[in-house]
Amino acid sequence: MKNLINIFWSKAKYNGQSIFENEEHYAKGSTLVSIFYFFVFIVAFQSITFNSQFPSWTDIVSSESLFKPQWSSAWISHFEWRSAIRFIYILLVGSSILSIVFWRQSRLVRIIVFIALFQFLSLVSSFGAVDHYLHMVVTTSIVFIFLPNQKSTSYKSDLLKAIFGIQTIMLATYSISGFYKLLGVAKQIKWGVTSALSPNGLTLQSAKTSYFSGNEYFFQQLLIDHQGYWIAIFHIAGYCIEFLSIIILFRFKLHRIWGLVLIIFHLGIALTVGPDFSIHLLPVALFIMFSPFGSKQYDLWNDTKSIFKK
Amino acid sequence: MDYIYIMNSTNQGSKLIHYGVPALICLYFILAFYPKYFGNGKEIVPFSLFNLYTFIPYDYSNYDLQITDSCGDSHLLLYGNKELTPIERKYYPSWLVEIGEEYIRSNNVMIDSTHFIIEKIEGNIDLVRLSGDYVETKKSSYMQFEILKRIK
Repeated sequence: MKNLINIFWSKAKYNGQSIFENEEHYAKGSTLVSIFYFFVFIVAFQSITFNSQFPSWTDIVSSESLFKPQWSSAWISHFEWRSAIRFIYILLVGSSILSIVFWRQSRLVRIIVFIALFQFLSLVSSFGAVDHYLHMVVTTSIVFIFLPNQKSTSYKSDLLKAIFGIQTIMLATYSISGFYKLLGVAKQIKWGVTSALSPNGLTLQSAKTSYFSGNEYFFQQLLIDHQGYWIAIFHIAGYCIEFLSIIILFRFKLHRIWGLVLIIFHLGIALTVGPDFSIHLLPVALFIMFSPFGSKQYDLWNDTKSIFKK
Repeated sequence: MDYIYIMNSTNQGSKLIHYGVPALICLYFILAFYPKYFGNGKEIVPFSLFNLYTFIPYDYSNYDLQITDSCGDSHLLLYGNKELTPIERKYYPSWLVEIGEEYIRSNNVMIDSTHFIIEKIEGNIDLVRLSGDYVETKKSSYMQFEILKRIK
């Protein structure tokens, strides 16, 4: 097992050198993590305002009768409802402010940020359905708990290893999700029913989410009026983008372009099927599209061109 | 010989990161797969469930509550109701599945008079089944409508 772990870290090389021993990578990675913790503050800020994707805090306070706790929010039932809800919001806002200043110096602050984000996700997911837009933010905050404080001698390489761990989880998550979708296509073809390869596959998916949300999506009418195999091609292309994501983990030159592809993929979902992953997109943008492991000699356009060069 | 990254006195990586992050990655995927193959199919927050949107839906058969006020006007609790809060919109679909499945099992709906929905809503409440094709419903609002049981 130890050998496997050593091989995992040793595979992460760029131009023959370990990506964890590069000062430029560290400088960029450190900035990205600072932006991540500022983003956590924005999430906390949005949670107490009324123009965000989150249910408003007043709505949550008045919905005690609809509370169906997740395992992680069961403790709320043992306390006075309003006080427990306010505690979670105060913890989230307070820890996010502390993390902007102290994330390098204090592991304790990073632990509290994780607990606060986790509790907030658990709370908003405790009303009959789980919200998925915060999962990657919470997962990222877990990984940073492993990071030692700045005074540690190995701090720089450890920070880069933490970022690489986050990239692994993100890309593998997309790949496994894509794998199950492609498996679903194979099963539905075998059963002889409508699948993602059918000209109306995406239209049906869009109509279903619209049925439950009551919203109409930007390209929904287009999908209904112009069903055809061109839609199936886009649909399957989306599945393939997800499935192939893990392949770019050790291909650092592709991180930036693949990050952009994933962001466009989510844009496509929002325009057709509806789920809004805008909060999920920021960690993807930070740690994949602005990956610290690419060469600073190139930009996104030149990275893309270099794919076609030998 | 290929380069192997091993912690030693020169690179001095933290053991917690070196072994902890791969362990976390393994744990993440074990807990993400566990509910699908060994559990109740429900996600263990905050671990992603990977089988969302796996299959293309076609026909539907959903449960809803028809609410009829004293003037005889009626509307559905979930479908087409623009008055719902985001929390109610999250809660009602799974709750309606529960009471619909309970009705199929026992031919009864166990909602007592103190249930919030009975207290909150004035007028008659009927459990109904809506069925049809998602695209046809989107295009023309057509759906089959069947009253199953009077609840209030």
